[in-house]
Amino acid sequence: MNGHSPITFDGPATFEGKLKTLLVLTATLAVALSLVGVVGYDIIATRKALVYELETLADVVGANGVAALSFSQPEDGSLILESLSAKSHIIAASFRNGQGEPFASYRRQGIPDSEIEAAERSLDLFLEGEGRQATPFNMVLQRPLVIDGEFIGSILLVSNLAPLRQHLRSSLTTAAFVFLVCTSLAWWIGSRWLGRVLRPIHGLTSTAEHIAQTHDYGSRAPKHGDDELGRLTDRFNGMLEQIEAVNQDLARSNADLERFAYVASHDLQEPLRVITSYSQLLSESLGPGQRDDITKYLHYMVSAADRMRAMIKALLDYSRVGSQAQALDTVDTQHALGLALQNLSMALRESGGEVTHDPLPPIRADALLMVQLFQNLVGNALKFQRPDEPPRIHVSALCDTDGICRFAVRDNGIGMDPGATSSIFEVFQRLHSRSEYPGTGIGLAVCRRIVEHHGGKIWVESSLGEGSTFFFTGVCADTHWRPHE
Amino acid sequence: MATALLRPQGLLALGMIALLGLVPSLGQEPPSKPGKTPTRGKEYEVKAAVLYKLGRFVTWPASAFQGSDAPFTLASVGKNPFDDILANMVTGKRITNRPPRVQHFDGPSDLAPCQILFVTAEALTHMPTLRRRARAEHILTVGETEDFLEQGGMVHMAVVDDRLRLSINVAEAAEADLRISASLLRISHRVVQETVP
Repeated sequence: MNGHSPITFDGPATFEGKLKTLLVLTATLAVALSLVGVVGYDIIATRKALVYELETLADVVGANGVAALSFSQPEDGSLILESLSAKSHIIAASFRNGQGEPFASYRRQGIPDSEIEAAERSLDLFLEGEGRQATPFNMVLQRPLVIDGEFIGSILLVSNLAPLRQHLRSSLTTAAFVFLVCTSLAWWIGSRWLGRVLRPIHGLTSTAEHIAQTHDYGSRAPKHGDDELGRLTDRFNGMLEQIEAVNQDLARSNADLERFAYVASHDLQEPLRVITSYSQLLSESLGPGQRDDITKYLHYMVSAADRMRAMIKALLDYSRVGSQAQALDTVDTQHALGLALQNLSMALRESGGEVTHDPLPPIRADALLMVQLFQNLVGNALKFQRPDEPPRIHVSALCDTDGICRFAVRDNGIGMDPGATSSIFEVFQRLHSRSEYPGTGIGLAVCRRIVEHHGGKIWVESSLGEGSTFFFTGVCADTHWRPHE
Repeated sequence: MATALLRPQGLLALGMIALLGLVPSLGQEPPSKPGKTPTRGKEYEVKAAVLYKLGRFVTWPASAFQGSDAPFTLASVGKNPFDDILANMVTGKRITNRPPRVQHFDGPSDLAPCQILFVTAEALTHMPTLRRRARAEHILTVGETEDFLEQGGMVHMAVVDDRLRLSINVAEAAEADLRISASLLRISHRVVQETVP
């Protein structure tokens, strides 16, 4: 709506949804990061354990094999290496003698020679060296066998990384399980507890929506707890109380006003009627030819009393606009204009005026008030006509994309000083003397009241002798309406 | 493979030749029987190597040595079959981290403290005395005669069908407070767990 909207969060539409997403995302990220750390550490530790196991095996088997090497018993050496078959991940092992020549070897069945040779080749060590090398699938380890400082040979172990992969698989499975459980838990906590935490906000929102729809300022948001949201609820309810109090004051003063209007209409008109009646009686009892000056004075009295009654009635009309709250409806403004012109038919005929109009949009309004609005505006235009030419009045409308319609009532009348254009909508404000242009001086004030009652604005653009255009706005009832369809 | 027995680099080629020549004759004739002089010297090169390497697979009590830096003594009793072979072989080596020393005794009477004693066929008549001495002085007795273990010896060595064959009486060695390593027992042809009367 307003041009500078804050940073938008493209996600769930509700606040709770956003918070839940945030909670779940945070938990997911934290769990994922820690799992990456744990699994990474696990891989390193498992690898270390594998290396350690290989070293231990090499030491044990090597210690067993030194006599076989020393006394050149390759069959015994092979038997000793054979014991490694219990370790399923050892795919090959060999003793080499002091010259680096193969002495005894063991190969697990079903392992292609090429794989073992490739693994052994990867470890490029000098004869008496010690070391290890990992290929993508295997790990090779060589340990020299030394007795009394004399190098008698070496042992070479080739292990596949199956234990590592198996461990990795199981830790990944565990990690996935933990991840799922944590994420589900975060989701569950979000679903179950976020609703409770946000209950005050839900209460505030639903109360505000209820008030916006029903104008029931007596309802209060339920309070949960004494935290910030609790205090916010208190403040919100406090403001509702103030609004309610102000509303009551307003209603009371409106009622006072209505009572005053009633008093004005009845009680003030009563003595006026008496004055008029007795003035007429007095005039009749005098008879013709008697004291012309008295007759003339009585006539002044009667017409003054009539004028006063008209003013009181106009004031009454003014005060009644919008006081009897009428639900807004879709009003065909062309029809309303037509009714207004019917009511003005006498004045139109007398002035020889002509009223034209463009297609007019339907708006949300009170139909009777719209008729009165058009009647007052057109009547006003007819009244302030130029003596030398008949009034020409044109009504048009324009709708903008926000669904606001601007109506214009243009005339070719006498116009007015642009400086006076704001005061003419005040009650009893006149630009001309009553003798020039008769009237109660309240018609445009009624117009303003009607337009403002519908949430619109009214203004006039004019200059002396150039005619005037009265504008007012209303809420379009059909957003697809276009003037020339 | 047999070359590993002859680790000293200088003897490598010699040893190979020795075994190639020696082995077929061994199958027919027990090594204990003297004679065949052309191969006899080569045979004892092999046996000398075994004798010297045995020291690495046997643990002696500290009391077997006269001091912490006392030499490791390899000795033979009877008619010396090794001449200088053994002495040449151990030159510059270390056994159980001690400098080796080679000695020869004619009989039990001149027997001085040693760690490994090679008992030749000629000295077998003195076996009861040698056995007693060995038990008391922690001496590993090694022999080449077929019934050496039955005579109360600890280690018997023979070369049969191109292969070294060791037989060990662990119990007899234990009587002398000697511990034979499992590694050695693994490659032994026969392991006896009881002493003979």
